[in-house]
Amino acid sequence: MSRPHGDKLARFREGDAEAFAQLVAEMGPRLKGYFLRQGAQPATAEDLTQNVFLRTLQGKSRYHEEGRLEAYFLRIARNLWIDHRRRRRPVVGDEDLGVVEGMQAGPVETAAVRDRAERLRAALRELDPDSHEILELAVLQRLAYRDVAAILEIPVGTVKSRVFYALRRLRQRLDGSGMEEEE
Amino acid sequence: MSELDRADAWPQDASPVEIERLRALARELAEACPDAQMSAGFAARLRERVAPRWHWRDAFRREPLLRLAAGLLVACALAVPVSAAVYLLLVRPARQPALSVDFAPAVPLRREPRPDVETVPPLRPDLEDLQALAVATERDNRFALSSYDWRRRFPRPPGQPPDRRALASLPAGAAVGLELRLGMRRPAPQSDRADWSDAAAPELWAELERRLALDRSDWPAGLEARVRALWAVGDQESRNWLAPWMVILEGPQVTHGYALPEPGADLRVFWESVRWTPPLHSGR
Repeated sequence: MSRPHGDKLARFREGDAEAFAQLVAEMGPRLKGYFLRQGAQPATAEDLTQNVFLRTLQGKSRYHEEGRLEAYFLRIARNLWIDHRRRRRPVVGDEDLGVVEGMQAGPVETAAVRDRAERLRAALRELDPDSHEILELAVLQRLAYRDVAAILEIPVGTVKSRVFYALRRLRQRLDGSGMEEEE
Repeated sequence: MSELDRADAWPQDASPVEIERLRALARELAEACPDAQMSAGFAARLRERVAPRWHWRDAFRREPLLRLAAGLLVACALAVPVSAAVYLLLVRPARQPALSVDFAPAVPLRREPRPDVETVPPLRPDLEDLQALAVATERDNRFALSSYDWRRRFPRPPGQPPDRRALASLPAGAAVGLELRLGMRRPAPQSDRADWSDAAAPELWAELERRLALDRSDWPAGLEARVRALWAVGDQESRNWLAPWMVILEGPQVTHGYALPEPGADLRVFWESVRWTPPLHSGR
């Protein structure tokens, strides 16, 4: 029987090397992908990911339930990204261009699949920030609606409708780019 | 099972066909955006940053002395403000004593003779001496005024012989005075007269010239009495001769309008043209 995530975080805080390795393996790629899709460069995304882990050492965990550790990490990541963007707001760099260099296609993707995936990522980047964020948390990070609602501080019903309309806008963008016709 | 696979994850008014298409789109989006791959040294770099915090946390948990030291540090940091608050709120300051001043009884001054201390006389002269000094100074100033005026008006021209014809036309006393003024005669240190009661105006003029030439500012009382008497009863001609004396005795204001007793029309000047006034000249 595996120990709950809350215990894993506690063991990580106490210096458990095994817990550290498990957390890095589970949350590292998800957090880096989150920062990359927000527009961070790969080096910046890794620095911010490390800061998330360091930040978890400082606070007291309020996530004892199974499956909610991801929400705890992503809440910290979201706050760090907001602070990072606020500090870098006067400077318009590559991070603001929406270029996700660290994202890699899967090894089995064919050219057509790769092209469709790229169109999907482009359509996601062109969405408004609210739609982009709700799809990031609910679809890409696979968080439960209640966790998304807690992070965004909105009702669960609002999360439900926002996900629906965000996906509808994404499909409309893909329709405009001719992706549906190819299908 | 993903949240999107649940039926209650979608709005109730959404059509099943659209829900299914959006659900498929969500899956396709998730496949298009996989998790990122970490760089090779990510875990090692993170461990380097995490290890010191682990060390401190572990040491804190294992070492009671470290916890005690930290507790003392916190207690000391809190002691000062807490003590200050307790002092200000609970320890009321004692009532301030009333301040008063007790004056010592007056001690009478005792003045005893001090034979060992030498008494120094005041440097300022007495009032009588000061008055005599003022009179003498005024008299000297009036002599100086007459001397200045005479010498300014009748300077001896260098190398020019005296005018004997003018001397011949003057009375004896005036001729002597003019000779003295022109340097033609040396002034006698003593006057020929001892009694001035019958002296004529030209003789009194000559005496004044002699005293001016000698820079003397004194005169006998009989001479002054004769000058005043002649001035009081004399005619215009006598007053012309006595005008310089009256300048000395009374000041220039009493001689206004009297011509100088000089021969010839070209040398006629008037006393009123003398504007220089000595500092102590105030009349008597």
